Amino acid sequence: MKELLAGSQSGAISGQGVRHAWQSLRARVHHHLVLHPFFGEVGQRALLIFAALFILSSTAGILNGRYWAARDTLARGEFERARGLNAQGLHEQALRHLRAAFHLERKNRDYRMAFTLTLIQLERYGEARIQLDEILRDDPTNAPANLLLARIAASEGAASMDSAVQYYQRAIYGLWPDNPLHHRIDTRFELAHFLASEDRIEELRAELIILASDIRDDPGQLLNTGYLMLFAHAPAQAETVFTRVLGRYPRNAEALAGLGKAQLETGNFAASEQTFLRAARANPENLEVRKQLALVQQIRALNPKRRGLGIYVSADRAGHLLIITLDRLAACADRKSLPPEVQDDMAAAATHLETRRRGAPPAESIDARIELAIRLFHDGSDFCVNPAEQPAVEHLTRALAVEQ
Amino acid sequence: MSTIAEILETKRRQLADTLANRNFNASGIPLPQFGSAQRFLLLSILIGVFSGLLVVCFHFLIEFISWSTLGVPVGESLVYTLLFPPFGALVSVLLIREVFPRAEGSGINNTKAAIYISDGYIPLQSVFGKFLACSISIGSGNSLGPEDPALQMGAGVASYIGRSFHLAREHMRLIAPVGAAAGIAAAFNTPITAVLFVIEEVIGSWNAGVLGSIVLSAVSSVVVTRSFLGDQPLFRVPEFQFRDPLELVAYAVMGVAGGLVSVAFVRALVFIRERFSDLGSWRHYALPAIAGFLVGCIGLGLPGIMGAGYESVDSALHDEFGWHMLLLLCLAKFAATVLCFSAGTPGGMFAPTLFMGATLGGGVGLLIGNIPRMPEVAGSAYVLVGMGTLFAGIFRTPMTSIFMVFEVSASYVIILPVMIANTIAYLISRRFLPEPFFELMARHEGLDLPSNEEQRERESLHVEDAMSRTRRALSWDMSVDAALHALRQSDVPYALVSTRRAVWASVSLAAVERAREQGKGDLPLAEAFALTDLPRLYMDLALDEALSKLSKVPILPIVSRARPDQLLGSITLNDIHKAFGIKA
Repeated sequence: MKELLAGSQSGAISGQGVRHAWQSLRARVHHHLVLHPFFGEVGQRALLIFAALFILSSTAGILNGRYWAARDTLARGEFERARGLNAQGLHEQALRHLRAAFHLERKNRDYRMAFTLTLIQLERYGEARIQLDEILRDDPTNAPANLLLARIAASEGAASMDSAVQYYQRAIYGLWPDNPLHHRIDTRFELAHFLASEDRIEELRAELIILASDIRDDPGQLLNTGYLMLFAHAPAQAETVFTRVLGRYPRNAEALAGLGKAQLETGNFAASEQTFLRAARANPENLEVRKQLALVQQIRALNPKRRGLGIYVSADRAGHLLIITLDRLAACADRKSLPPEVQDDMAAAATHLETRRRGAPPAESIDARIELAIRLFHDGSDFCVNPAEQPAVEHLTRALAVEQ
Repeated sequence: MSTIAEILETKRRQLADTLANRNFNASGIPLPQFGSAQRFLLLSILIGVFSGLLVVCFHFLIEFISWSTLGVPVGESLVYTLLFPPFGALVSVLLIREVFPRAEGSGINNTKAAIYISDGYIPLQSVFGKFLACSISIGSGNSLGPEDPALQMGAGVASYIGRSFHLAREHMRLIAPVGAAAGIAAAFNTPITAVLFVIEEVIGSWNAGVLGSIVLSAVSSVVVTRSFLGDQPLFRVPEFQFRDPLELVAYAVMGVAGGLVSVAFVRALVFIRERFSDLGSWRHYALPAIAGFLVGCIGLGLPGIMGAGYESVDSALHDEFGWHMLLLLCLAKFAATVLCFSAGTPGGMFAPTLFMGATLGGGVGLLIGNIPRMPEVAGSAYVLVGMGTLFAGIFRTPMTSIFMVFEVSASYVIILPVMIANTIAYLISRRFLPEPFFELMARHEGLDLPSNEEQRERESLHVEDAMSRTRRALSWDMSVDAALHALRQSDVPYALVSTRRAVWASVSLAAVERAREQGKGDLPLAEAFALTDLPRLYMDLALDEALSKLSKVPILPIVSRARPDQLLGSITLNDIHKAFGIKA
């Protein structure tokens, strides 16, 4: 060692000096440790083995750090390459790199999720489903994974409908990495649209009620909810939702159109007419509103129970309604083939109409005529193969039936 | 002061003596004395730790080499894919042949040779040789696996540690399997499989003395490995369920396919190895390089087959491939592995076997799934079962193959399908292959190692196969004259005597004649002789146990285990000779 130090102080370490120092060190170690009576032969071997163990574990420790760091770097590189390829729409090539990144860093959720999303984009649902199942095995409350599984199940057709709904529900109530309220509302909308497409009206209605209470003041979301409520035959709730929008945006043409439709469905024809008029003024180019307005006006012209009508006018309208419904039934069904009670209704309608011509007192017969008209309309819908579409009569009879 | 210095010097010497001779300690209290058996048990933990660390480093090195040569993902560069496998094969063969010649050969056969030939001796050189050569060959993409080298590294470390601690000869012979278990447990991350494999393939029998050490070493090596590489199993296995008994038909078909492919694989391997060995000495370097190049060519189209190929197995488990691709991968791996192994490139066979099994299972399973009325089964179940079938068919270790699949899948549901498929594959392999894979390889390497399969199935003779079922015995109160008469009527010159305490003794014709000559003809046997109790034998005992007892007495009673007073028969040396077909 002294020679070594001397060599280094003089500015040059000679090879001979290093060798000599090493031999000297070895001799001292040998003398003090190996030849010392403290250690027997086995002791020396044991010392050697434990020294080797120490060196091996240190080496493994160093390699371990480098190994995981290298894996991490490689995986990140692959992930970035895949992101670039995905952005260019080259999903197939991106998948190869994502797969490599994922194999390198199996625990990284971002890689796994990106990998799974690419699989879904490539419509490789079987593989994607397995990945998502594994994510959920580790973290059952993972909302994005549940949502993706819901979409896969929804795409698989009738057999997976129930599981799709379950996954949607888990996604709604699961944990989102950021902005949970926003994601929950979006997911519930997706579920609502899915339920609407599958005609699962009861469930749809339940979801829409929750949605209406969750949404703060986003007019777009409220309008969407309102129209879905109309689809789900919940006009009263839809009316409330559209009114909320109009509270903040009184001239919103879509909200006015929706409210008018909701009022039409609830049988509030006068209010509906007024709302459609406002909607038409707010957006004169909306042909659908004009069509709806014309319908409401037609209904109001037919309505025997409209306020302010005299008793003769009411009776006359009731009789007119009876004629329309009777003609509709007679036009599409062979009288003899109809059930006896329907035939009886038709005979009763004819009698009423005879009485009307003879000018009998109308007060007693208005309600009876209306009731008969409602029944005949329903009979027409039930027994005719292709009954004539009469939306105004349909709306009116429905409203009158509720009133009766 | 000088007194204190003297005392200290005395104490120091005592301590030195204690450590050197291990008889007493400095305070005069006897130190715990470790015999060879206890040392064997304690060393197994050290062996496990050592092997675990070594396998971890081996794993790191393989990965580093793979990333540096083949890149990520594998097969990105055409030039690297074509050039590095032959280059790696050449370097690894050079290392084995020129630097570490004692590292040549199969790890399992080298370990078995250590047990049966060299009293547990495995040179440390072979550990370094396997470590370097196999990491280069596998890391550079040659189609071989790291488990067999890991097994030999564990065995080599164990052998060195055993030698260092002067274990007794019988323990030295068994220490290599202890290390082998540690090595394979660390490589597979499956302690149960490692223990079973070593018992089934390396030792060949359930040896209670070594079982504890094997378990300890396997567990300690897995603990070390997991602390570095994480506790994830070798494969991530998706969940699946066993729903319909009809699925078992599919698994049985898979067992048939697995068995046939196993037979084809081993036959191809033997055939090509024999052809290659007929070539000149140039083959040692040229063939691995050519095989590596061909593997590179295959890897251009199917990069998944390069190296151990575990990533492709993982992909197969996760439904990445359709049935055509799975069967194509199986075929490609088959060819690549046969080429590499036959050419003599260093590396093991476990990983390729699992790869071929997984892809075959997945492919056949998906094909079966397309048949109308067949129940829908998760692809991962077929992949797992396929792995087991090839393992059972090629290595002929049925128990290990079942538990391996169970351990890597962590699914109890898979047990039933695996048992059915593996048993079928195993039986087909037995039917069409005269010897298991490792024995064929040992033969090729010039070793004649005992067949563990035969050893397991060899029928040993029991007492019931040799005993004489004559239940006649003399009574203790019978007179000497009557006994003499009975003995003269008998074929043998001695007889059993029932004593008062319902135990058995014996008298010989000569002794009875002598007693009569001494005028004891009227005395009962109990009074005429000092009757000593004979050891009892039972019908189910092995014949060698009877043989060792018959060295002291001419006849032994065979009694019922439930009623020791009930004589079922007797046995003599002559009976045992007859059972072994030796003429008296």
